[in-house]
Amino acid sequence: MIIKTVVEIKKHKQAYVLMAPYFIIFITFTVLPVTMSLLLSFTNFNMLEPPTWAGWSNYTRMFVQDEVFMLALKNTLLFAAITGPVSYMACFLFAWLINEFPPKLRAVLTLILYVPSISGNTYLIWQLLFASDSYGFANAFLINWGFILEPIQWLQDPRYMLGILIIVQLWLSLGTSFLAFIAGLQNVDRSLYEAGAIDGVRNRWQELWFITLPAMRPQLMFGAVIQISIAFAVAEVSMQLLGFPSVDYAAHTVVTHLVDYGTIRFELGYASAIATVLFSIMLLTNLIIQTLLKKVGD
Amino acid sequence: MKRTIAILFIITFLAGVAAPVSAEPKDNYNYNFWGEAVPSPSPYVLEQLVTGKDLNIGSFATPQDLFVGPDDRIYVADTGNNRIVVMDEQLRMTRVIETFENGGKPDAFKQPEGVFVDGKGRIYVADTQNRRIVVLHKDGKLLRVIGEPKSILLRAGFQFTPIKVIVDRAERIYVVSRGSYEGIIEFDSDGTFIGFIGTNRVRFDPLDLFWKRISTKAQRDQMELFIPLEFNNLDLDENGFIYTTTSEENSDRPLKMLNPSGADILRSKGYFPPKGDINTLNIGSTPGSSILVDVASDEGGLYNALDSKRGRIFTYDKDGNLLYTFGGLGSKHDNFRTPAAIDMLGNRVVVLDKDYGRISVFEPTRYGSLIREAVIALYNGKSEESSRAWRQVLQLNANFEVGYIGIGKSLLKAGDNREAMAYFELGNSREYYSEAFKRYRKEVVLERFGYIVASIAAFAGLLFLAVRLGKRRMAGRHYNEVGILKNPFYTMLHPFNGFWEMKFENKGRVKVAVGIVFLLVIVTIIKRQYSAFIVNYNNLSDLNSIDELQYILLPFLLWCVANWSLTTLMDGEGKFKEIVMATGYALMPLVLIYIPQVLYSQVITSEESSFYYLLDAIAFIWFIGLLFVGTMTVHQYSAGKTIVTMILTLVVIGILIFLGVLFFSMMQQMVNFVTSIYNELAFRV
Repeated sequence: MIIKTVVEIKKHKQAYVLMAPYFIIFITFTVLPVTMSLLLSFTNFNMLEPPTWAGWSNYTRMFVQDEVFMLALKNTLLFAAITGPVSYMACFLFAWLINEFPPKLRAVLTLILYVPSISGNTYLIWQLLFASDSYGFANAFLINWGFILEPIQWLQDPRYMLGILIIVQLWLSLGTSFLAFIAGLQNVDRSLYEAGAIDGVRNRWQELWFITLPAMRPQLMFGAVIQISIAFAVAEVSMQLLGFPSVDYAAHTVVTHLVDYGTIRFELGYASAIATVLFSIMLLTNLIIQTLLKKVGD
Repeated sequence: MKRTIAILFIITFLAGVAAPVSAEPKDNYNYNFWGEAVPSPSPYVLEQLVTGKDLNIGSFATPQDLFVGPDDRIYVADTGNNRIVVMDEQLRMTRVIETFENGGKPDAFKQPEGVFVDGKGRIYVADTQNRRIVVLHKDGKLLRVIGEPKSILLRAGFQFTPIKVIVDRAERIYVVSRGSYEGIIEFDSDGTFIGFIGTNRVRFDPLDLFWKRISTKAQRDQMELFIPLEFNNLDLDENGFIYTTTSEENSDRPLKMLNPSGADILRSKGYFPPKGDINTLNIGSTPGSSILVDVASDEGGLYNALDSKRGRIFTYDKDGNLLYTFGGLGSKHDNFRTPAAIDMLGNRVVVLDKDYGRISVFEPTRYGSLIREAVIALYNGKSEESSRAWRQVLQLNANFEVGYIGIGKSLLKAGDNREAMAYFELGNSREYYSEAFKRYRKEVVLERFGYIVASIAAFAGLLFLAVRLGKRRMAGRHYNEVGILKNPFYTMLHPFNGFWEMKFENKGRVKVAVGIVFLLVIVTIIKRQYSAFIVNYNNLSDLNSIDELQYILLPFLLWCVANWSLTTLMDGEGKFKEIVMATGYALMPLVLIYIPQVLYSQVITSEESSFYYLLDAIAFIWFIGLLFVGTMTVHQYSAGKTIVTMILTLVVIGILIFLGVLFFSMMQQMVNFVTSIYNELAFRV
């Protein structure tokens, strides 16, 4: 068996040599850190002393004793369950709409929709919109029209924070996957539509479901992966907009929790455990999404 | 044995003698979680009645205010007789203040409506018709007269008509003036006007504002003015907060508790806001909500509010839980006609009735004093004592839900989470139940973490294997036929194909659709009764299966009939049978999602309940989607036409219900007519 493998390798050594540069870099910078983190999650490690073996205790602590983690997990899952699908659909819908326009206009509209997600921290204008004094746009409008008498503390009130975060994230989400979808829509073979019309496709929806979507399946897959990682890894926006840690941990996500333990408390063993859990959740969601996407066009 | 019984008997007998056990049950009640008035033992009974004649000073004439001073003396503002009457704590006559020296000349009150005494024994009188506050020394000498405030803050036409006055520890004077909607007038200790605090906010709706915006100034002047409500009474509590009452009807906040900066900080954590009677009808002999005319603060954060409309006293704890009510209007000796003021004399309640011109003193029964003991002990942090007192309260009145919450809190402090959960459930407090459940769950999970992880892993492994094996078996076939029973499940995931096969390939069965509807009824009942307490706001004791049947079967049938009658006119191709099948099959997601939802609800706290409601939303959206596709396929419509048809179907359902109600009321009228004719004839012949 082993001899057979060695023989196989020898036979294809040119291929291995050609693959080597990429593989060395990939293993050093991706595979190794991930495995390290996985191993570290079973230890107590504080960057100064060598790690000590801790077994499952990090995980027990996380799921049983750390209420903030449970809250963060709840927020993240809720956030992902709402923004993931909605922004995915929105990306596709906008791409589909824009695709109908003439090319010049299409380029301009693409730019307009894509701008929020490329320009660093534009989302800080939402701070002006939802400012907690009576000069914030939302408050000023509501007070002027008599809906409220006192300004609402949008960014400090646990009741509104997650909602605002979701809105901002949706606004930001027309990013990479949106562009990928536009590219995908461009690439669909026109002759397929004619073939479909002959085969009895009756309306636009059937055209979409049986021809367009299956034809752009790779882009859909790419978009889904990007969108999942964005939805689960939301942290920056929450920290900038709602403070870190946010009031009452109302907008605390798994990644902000990770930042807390990894870069402030330096409990790297525990932080690795959090990262491992997040990684497995993302992996699982990915698998589910992939099986769902295989059903497109059935 | 006999001896123990005898001893127990004697003990209970002695305990009964020690304090008056609640007298014969009268109209004492408390509101439970469901808003029903549940009878309760009497918390307070009448101890004595005092009229002006008893004091040999002639009858009181519409006395408006009563105040119990720091030295337990009782001061009454005898408005009609222009005097202040002072009594000691036994309600014996001490003296009457009618005149005082003012700048060498004798001066007198004119219709004084308010009186207050501060810690130094100085008497503050709201001398209403003279438009001034009179401050007297303990011995009745004049200290100061505070007249009309002068300030540019005051609007033109402001009239100073002081009716109630209080003074805080810093000797600031707070005055309620009749017709002054700016709030409470605040004076410095030397009588200079500072400003207004605690203004009531105007409530108006955006629509009014819109009309105001677009109308001209002349039109605006014609419109009614929106001005804030005025306060009608106020009281100071032991920490220097001011309780105020507003005689606003149907408001949720007739009571306020103002902090020194004038913000309302009254807690409203009870089942209902602290506003007296709830769910009042606007018909009958005493229509409308309670009108609270006075409030008296009490130790341990308790406060008593006096309702002049029904003559009841409502006592709340610091969180706004209603503890007990007593009193009433009538001619019996312990009733009132027009109660005007209330105050506390130790643990006794003193009420002044301005029409009867008498003072009623109520003392707590054993039940009342136990409740007070429990609340005050908890306020002082003695949870053990409080819990003991609550247990005794519950022996006297097992329907007292606040008591269960009280015991639950003590158990939670002691760390007995499981027991605490049971008590919070009895007390219908989901907030605390969730907290207790969270702690209990933590204990359980910590104990069995290994087992739980292992079982989850085993389950995942089995699932994986099952899927793999299933795939292997499926791979052997090229084309798999979807059976009659499998069709609903197939339709759920492939609506277009599923409904198509149902219509054109004879895959659907009405029996199956009806079966799904009945399953849904059963599942809905299960969800109603067995979903966990945290998300279950139903009153489990009044389940009516027929009702549940109505809420599902009736809409289902109405939808089918309305849809059929509409689509026959709008050239839909569906037969009635097909509509029934499509609608029934569309209900499938609800049936499938509800059961796991109930299971899931058993392991969540209220913070995690958002996923429970998310499942609700998913089930509903899925159902609407399937219904849409089903309607579209059965009638062979385009998407737009389907949406229009579905909206119109809802309209038709409305019309059908209207016709049904009309028919029934007509029938009722006819039956009445015939029976009255028959009666007429029967009497004549």
